[in-house]
Amino acid sequence: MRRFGRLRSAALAGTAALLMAGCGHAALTQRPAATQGAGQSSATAGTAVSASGGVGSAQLSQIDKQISQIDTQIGQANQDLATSEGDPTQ
Amino acid sequence: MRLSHPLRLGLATLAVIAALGAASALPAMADTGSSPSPSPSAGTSPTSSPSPAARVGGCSGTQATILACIKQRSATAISNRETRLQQLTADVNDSADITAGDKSTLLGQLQSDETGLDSLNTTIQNDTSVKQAWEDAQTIVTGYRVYLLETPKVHLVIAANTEATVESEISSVMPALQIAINDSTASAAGKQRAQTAFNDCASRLAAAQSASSGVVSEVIDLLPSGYPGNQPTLVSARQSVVTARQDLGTCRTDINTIRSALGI
Repeated sequence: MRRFGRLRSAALAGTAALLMAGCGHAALTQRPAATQGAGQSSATAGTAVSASGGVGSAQLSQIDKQISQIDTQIGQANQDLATSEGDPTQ
Repeated sequence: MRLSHPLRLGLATLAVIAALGAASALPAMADTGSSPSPSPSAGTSPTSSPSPAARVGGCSGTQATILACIKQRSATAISNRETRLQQLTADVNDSADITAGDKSTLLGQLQSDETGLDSLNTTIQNDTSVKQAWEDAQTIVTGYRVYLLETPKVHLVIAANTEATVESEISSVMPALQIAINDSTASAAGKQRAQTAFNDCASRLAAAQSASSGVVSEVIDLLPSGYPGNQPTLVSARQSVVTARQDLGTCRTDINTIRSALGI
């Protein structure tokens, strides 16, 4: 019985370690640039970053969406600058 | 030389037509950015009592008719501008990327314009002379420049803020991309291709930041009183926004290249 208990404790510890590793992955991929210097080795940044390129698809999609918004805003500015005030008494 | 009767009659008719043509000449307005002429046209200046056939801007008739017409058209012109100002206010409020400071500045300007136009409308509706009403009506344009100054200004400030956000987001992923290149098990050629794309992206990002960083300060405090002299500043700012957009687009493509080259 005691032996089984030790085995169960070891399994729990292993699970916890795996969970922590998973959290570490998420934290690394979302860490701001200021905490990651260019050229930093995988030894400190973690292989998870290398595996994903450090850029999530959601993050890239967000950038694409914002670039599309910029296009809309430029289109508006183009239209604005080509317009006229008109004569209020006309 | 004595002209025959029909010829004299014809010349007289031409003279009347020419006079009417001059009388109906319209005041130069803001389409080209020029300031309006101080009076509508020779012979129909609001300073004098218009004849029954007088014309001021798009209004004609007796003085009372012209005055009523100017008031009605001014009310419409002001209403249209207030609608635009409300749309611009919504644009500012809807922007997820605009800084709190820029947002506050723009909303303050837009609110001030709305308040000013409200007051101007009251003034015009209470004017008792064609001359005064016409002069006040011109300030709907010259005092606010809602379409030619405020509108592009708001859109350029929002665009520059969005670019700043994208620049920040791309900057935040650059270190991780470099790590991915350094640690990649891809072929040497693949890693080289990725590194070349990375270097280009870094260069483009810096160029985008350089182009967009000054846009807000250039345009946000431009005043209607400075128009049309400040119009080239708007055009220049628009070009800066376009340049930054192009650089960001290239950088974004570079990121795809990096991921593709590394197989990630």
